[in-house]
Amino acid sequence: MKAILLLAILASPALAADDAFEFFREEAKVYTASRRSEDARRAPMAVDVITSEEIRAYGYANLADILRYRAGLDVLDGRSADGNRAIVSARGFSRDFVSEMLVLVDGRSVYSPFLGGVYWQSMPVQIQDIERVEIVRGPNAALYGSNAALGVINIITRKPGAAAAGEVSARGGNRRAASAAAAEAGGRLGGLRVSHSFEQVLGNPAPNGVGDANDFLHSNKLSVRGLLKPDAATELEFLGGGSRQTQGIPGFSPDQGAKREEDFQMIRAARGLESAGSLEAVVSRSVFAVSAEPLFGRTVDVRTYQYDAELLHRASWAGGRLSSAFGAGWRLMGAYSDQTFAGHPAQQNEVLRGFTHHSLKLAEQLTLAAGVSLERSQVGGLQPAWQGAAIYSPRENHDFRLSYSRAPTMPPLFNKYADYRLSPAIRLVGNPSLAPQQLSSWEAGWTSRALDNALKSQAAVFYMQIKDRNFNFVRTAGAPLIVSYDNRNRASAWGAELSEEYGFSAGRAIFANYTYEQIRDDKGPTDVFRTDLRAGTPVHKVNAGVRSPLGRGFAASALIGYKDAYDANSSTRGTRLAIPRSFRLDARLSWTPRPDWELFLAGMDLLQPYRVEAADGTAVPRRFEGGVTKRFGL
Amino acid sequence: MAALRRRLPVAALALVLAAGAARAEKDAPAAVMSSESEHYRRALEGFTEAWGSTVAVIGAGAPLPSAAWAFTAIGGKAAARRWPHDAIVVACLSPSVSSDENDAMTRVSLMPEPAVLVDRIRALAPKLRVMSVFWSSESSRDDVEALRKAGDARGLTILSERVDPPGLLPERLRASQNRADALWLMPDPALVSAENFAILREYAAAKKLPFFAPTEGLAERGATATIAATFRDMGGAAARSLRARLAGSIEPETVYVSRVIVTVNGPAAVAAGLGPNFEMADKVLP
Repeated sequence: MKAILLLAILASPALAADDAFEFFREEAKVYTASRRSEDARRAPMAVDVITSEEIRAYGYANLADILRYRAGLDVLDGRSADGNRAIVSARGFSRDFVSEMLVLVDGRSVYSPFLGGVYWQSMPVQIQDIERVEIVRGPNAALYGSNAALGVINIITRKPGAAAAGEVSARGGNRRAASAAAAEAGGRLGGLRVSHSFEQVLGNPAPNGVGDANDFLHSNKLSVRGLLKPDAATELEFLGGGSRQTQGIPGFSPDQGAKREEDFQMIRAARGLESAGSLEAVVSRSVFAVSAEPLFGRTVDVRTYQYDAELLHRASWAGGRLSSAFGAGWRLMGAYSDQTFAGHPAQQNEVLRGFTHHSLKLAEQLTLAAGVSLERSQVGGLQPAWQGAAIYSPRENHDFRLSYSRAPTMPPLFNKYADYRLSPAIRLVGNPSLAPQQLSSWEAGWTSRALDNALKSQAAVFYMQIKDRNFNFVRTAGAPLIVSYDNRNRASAWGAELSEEYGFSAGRAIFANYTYEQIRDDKGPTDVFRTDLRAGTPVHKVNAGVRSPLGRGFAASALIGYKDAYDANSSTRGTRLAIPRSFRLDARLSWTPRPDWELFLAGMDLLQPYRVEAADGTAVPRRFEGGVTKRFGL
Repeated sequence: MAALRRRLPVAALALVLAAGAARAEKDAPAAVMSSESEHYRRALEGFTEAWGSTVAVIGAGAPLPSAAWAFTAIGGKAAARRWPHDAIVVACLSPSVSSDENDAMTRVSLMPEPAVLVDRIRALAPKLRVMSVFWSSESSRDDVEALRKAGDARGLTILSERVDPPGLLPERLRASQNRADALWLMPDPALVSAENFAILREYAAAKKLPFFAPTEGLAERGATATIAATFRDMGGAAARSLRARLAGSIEPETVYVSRVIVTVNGPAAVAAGLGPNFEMADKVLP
């Protein structure tokens, strides 16, 4: 019988592997009609995903490094006015507090209600916990709410696995020492993951070249994530964590450090529904306290809090042709500071929001997407946000999109309610009638995959306009000078982004991207703090990276970036600095003698002894590091 | 008149024969093909062979012949088209189209019958206790559930590992590591690609786990073994099911091909701790 079967196989030649993939490729065209999750290629906006594999291979040391070489993002090393270690923005508008960009960690907003923007350094997220980072360039407020204007960065951390596993690592070099540890255990019903990291960074040379800039940093972070899966369709999760950070304040003596404490707790429940949909409920609490806010130099205590509750229902209709999301959210956020809100130390903002987003596959080659969000808040009143997009797919793996989005950005509490004597000569006073900024964006994009998905290409051109843009102005001249905030500004930006990524085989890949950005800012340098956004954004940026195994357990990676000349400026310090065009090179060599051990050597900023990127003139030196990682249970 | 009476039986007989011929013409099915690709043509060959005669063949986007009311749809694009409300349709090679979407449709599964599949896998790996099943699209859900029931009845725990979106396979693998002692890749078009196949193959090799794949040919690319029906046999199964439905039988929503071919990649299987004898295999690759 077996012989007969064998003859049958020989008579009817077995389907070659390539034919098998060809069959599934052809059938996958039909699959897109019935799927529920959004494919990045069919998203209404430009989407970039950084995986944990890339993070490990390139040896990124912190969050800013992960984002540094991506298309459409601007990352500046240095010290922003609030003591952040890096400034990150999307599609231009690089400055101390990028209040038009939303950053989420596992869906929880880490946007600061006090000054706007994000404290990248003290964010309680650890590199070894990151599963992937999703970058949406352009407005997405119809889904995520206000402040998701220039872009959304969603950092997604690992869920605990089903078995005991862990890793410990240590690294050190000429500027930094760090350690990290993570352990997880679990079974079919769920699991638990705990991780900790410590980092100590030396102060950089002072801008005048004499001594230390007193911008040292000590940081401890702890994270816990528990997962319970009572049945196949239900997930219950608890996420919690915190960070404790001590840092120097540039310009002050080393004993005048600032202390930051950040904590959060989050509970998430998700259930898949019989009707090809899912229901998700999330509640979270985030608190942040800083003593001696570096922005203000002398002792200023600020406490902020944020409570969130959100319900999200995803559904699929008409055999998968229509995918929908419905959501509602409540947020209470506030800030308490005796010094900066003189006389009225407690300020808060309550936000209620409802939103819906739909994607309809109108024909085989045409998908329409639309979303609307309505938000009512104490700070911004009733604010709509919307998005509309058409995605045309003339051929398999080629998608063109046209989109229009509109997103409001709420003014931070400080800009609205501040009353603070910055120095005997300057007083900052908020503007209670400050209106939300309104950003409109038109975008055309193309994504493609070829060579069996090994070659991924993206291109986008965009034009954005910000109405009612916030800026500082002198309300009263004389002594003291009273500086306040106003909306009487308008800015526009246009640009193009191209990116290519090619995977040769597992672990061997190259990428390259190019970004072109131009900004027009009506008020320009007449802003009292001389923030010139036009010159503050490099016009041309090019990045490339390569990673590859070398054999015998060795692997190497390299990243190179080119940035056009620009004017680094600080929206709060009133400093501007001309930065010449420059190249940056990072490289890493690792050796894995056994699957559970890795040793590495890495160098950052290898092309020059010092680099100045930020307005404070901080000279970031060339860095070398070495380290070792031991993994368990892998 | 007498002559007319003499001819009446002959005329009646002719009428009956003509009606029968018309009915036979009406029952002749048409095959609707997604494309002219090799895999669909093989299924068509299997269909015509099992049907016993050639059938009308039309493209997925072409109008249906007005006389036909029984069809075989070969490929997902063909199966997903709009059908007349009284049509009888048996679809094959259409893993992304669920029979829930069309009550009149019977679907020939791309996967072997779950009980047969579990038995074959257990024969290859007798010590197997827990197997992770990777899938992505909604249309695979019923097959995964059927596989889970078959596994439960045979002492094999099936862990459903949905990868959605499919690009998250590495993360899903990492989250599920050490849970299972074998992997099965569902014939899910959203998930099966050279890229994802390589990820699963390399993961299985690193963990020394057997990696079972659903389509002939993938053993040559490094899967430990494939347990699969041929596309030709799927076409044949569609013909038999269609004939049964035309004869008035009530067919299940999903039918399986009875003949399953096991192809073992010898070196990969030994590396995964199987063998060294694979007597139950139909083909062993050196």
